[in-house]
Amino acid sequence: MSKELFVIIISWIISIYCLLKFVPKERIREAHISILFSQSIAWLFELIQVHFGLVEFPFREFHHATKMSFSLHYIVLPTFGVFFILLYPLNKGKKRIMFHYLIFSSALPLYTTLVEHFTSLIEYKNWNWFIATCVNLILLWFLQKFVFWFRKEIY
Amino acid sequence: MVIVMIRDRWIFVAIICISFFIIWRIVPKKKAREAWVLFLSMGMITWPAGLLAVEMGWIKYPVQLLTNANDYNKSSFTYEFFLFPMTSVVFSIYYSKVVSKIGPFLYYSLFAGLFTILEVILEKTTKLVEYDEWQWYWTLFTLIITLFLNHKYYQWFKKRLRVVSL
Repeated sequence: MSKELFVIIISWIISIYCLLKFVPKERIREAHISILFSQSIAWLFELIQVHFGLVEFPFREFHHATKMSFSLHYIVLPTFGVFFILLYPLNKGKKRIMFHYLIFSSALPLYTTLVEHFTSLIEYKNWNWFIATCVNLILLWFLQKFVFWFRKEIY
Repeated sequence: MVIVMIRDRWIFVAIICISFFIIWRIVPKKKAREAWVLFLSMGMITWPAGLLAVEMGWIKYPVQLLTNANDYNKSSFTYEFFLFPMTSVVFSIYYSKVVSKIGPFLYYSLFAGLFTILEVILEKTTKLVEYDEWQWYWTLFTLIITLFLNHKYYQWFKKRLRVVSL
């Protein structure tokens, strides 16, 4: 088994395990809407990255059908999004919230940069972890606004 | 060829505009969240399904909404992330209202049938979609199955949604 396949399988297992294990039952719909919205923005953003040749995905699940990766944007990055929402600090002050944003927007590039470095799942063309962190700050902000609007009607 | 491509792309733009108009007119504001759930979850079913169909060489989309989209993604952005989700939104939001009158069989046939007819017309007259192994009844069956699955998911999700503001 190639190391790329190994990383994909391990990422699926860890993501699903974390989702099943650490999402509280009473917040399950909030987690669901977070993952759905994260998947959509992850996919849209990936489309933009590939369209402008910022990033390439040499090893991918659907090799003929697309030049975009699937698992990373279908399960791994959305799992980050879910825990960003579930662990979001309420009533804790501005500094704590900024810290939360920084942790999550840099944790994602840490993962992808490691994957980029050690496997051929991702290859940065005109891209680096710093731009990724800035972009993630914006995407997480969208996610937070959307989910907080949505959950007003979940009980 | 170029003229055909431009014409086909305009057909897509027109279909998308009409879908937006339909959604805007018939989804009540208090059901906005329900529509979001349906729209997003349907896209997450059709995303891998559409990739699989292209990967297996069953179906092709020679002309896409964006120029050169086929250079990096051969599955159909418009179908998988827009037309299928939109269909699912309308289907599920009006499900209980209409099914009580005409029954589920007719209701499913109506939606899946109309969509399939539209796709077959596009297949025959444009380059927007091209069947290789694919047959019209594959569209019909996969659409019935995905509408069913998404509707079940929606019913589960809806159990804990309530309207607090308009």
